[in-house]
Amino acid sequence: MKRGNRTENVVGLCTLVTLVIAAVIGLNRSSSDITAHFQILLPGAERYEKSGFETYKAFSQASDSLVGYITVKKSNGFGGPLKVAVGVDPAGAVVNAMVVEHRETPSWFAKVKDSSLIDAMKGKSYKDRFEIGNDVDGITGATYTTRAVIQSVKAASREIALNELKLPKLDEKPRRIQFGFPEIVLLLLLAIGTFGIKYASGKTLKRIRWLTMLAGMAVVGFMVNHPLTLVDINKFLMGYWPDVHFQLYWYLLTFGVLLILLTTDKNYYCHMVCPFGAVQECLAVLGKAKSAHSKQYHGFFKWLRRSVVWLAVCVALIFRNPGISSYEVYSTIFSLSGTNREVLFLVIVLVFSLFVRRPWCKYLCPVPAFSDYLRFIKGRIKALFWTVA
Amino acid sequence: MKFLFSKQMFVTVFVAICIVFIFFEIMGNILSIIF
Repeated sequence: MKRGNRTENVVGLCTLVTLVIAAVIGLNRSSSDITAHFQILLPGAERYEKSGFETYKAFSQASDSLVGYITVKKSNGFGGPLKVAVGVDPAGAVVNAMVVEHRETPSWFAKVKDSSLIDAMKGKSYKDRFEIGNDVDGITGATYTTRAVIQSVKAASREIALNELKLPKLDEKPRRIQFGFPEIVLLLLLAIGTFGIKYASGKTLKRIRWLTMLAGMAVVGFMVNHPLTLVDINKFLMGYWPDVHFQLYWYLLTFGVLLILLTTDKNYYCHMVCPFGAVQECLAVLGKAKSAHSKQYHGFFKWLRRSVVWLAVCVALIFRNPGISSYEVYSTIFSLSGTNREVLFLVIVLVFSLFVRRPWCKYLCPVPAFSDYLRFIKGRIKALFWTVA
Repeated sequence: MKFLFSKQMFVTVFVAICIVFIFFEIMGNILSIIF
């Protein structure tokens, strides 16, 4: 066995072991105690009686009269499950709500926390539809989190109304899988990118590549603002797979790229579809940037990137939060908003893109590191299979 | 001296700056979750 191969095997195995240890630590972390928030959820209540799984009856201490109910409901946000504790009065109206546990990227969750989303739902009856745009205003740039909070409050108020207050059941429309323009474009881009590289060459391939990159930048980037990120990879690893009815796009993106990687051994997504890659390519054309590739330092930068990604995934697994270690600059550029630090980071990357071709993709993006590791795992499994066979 | 003004140095500076930003981004997220 070559020395390089042996080193790679040892490092690959150590990576796997440390990731498993991080995941075990994360699984053993205690969840939050919701009873600490009861006073805020139902003011006036002082005595609580458990009446179901994470459902409590609340009474006032003085007269021992029923003040309302508190229950916890879970929905899928952008980073993973999001738990909302909801206080409901005896008539079935929402008194207050509070996110007690979430897996969202903190800076993006702050947008929802600082908004008037919860206030807008106070007083809503279980009969209300809780529709974004009609009943409640959505929050730009935090669509998944907003939807998860609203769904949880709606589910909580309906559960109390049906199970505790014995109010009549409402007729609800069966949920349909959302398959629209973004999903169609994503599928087309992945297919054109993969088959374009396989069957086209020269100028035709160059044209196809620019077409898929620009379409990716417009739709995957600016329209949907959901390129493949470390959050998606972490969600996949942690099993925080979202509701297919609302986030079919996530399944198509994550499993589409994974399928292409495993079947072709090539990372066509980065080369043909990635919207941030397209932004950097456009800047490279403007600045007449050249590749600063040097064989001498290639190994160092490759392992540096892998180390950063390994550390980021370990942190996410330990905290059971896919968004905690997200460091990409995509959301800042495609939502055209972010904190001062995020904007400064983005500007630095964009300025360097004028002089060096795709610097983010070459030195920092987690997707190539992830695809390298997948290839490694696939290779070892294949070798093991052949040895056994 | 040659390395100091080379493209490789330019890239090294870029990566170093980005890693500092990444460190602060992740640490900021961890601290905001802990506290």
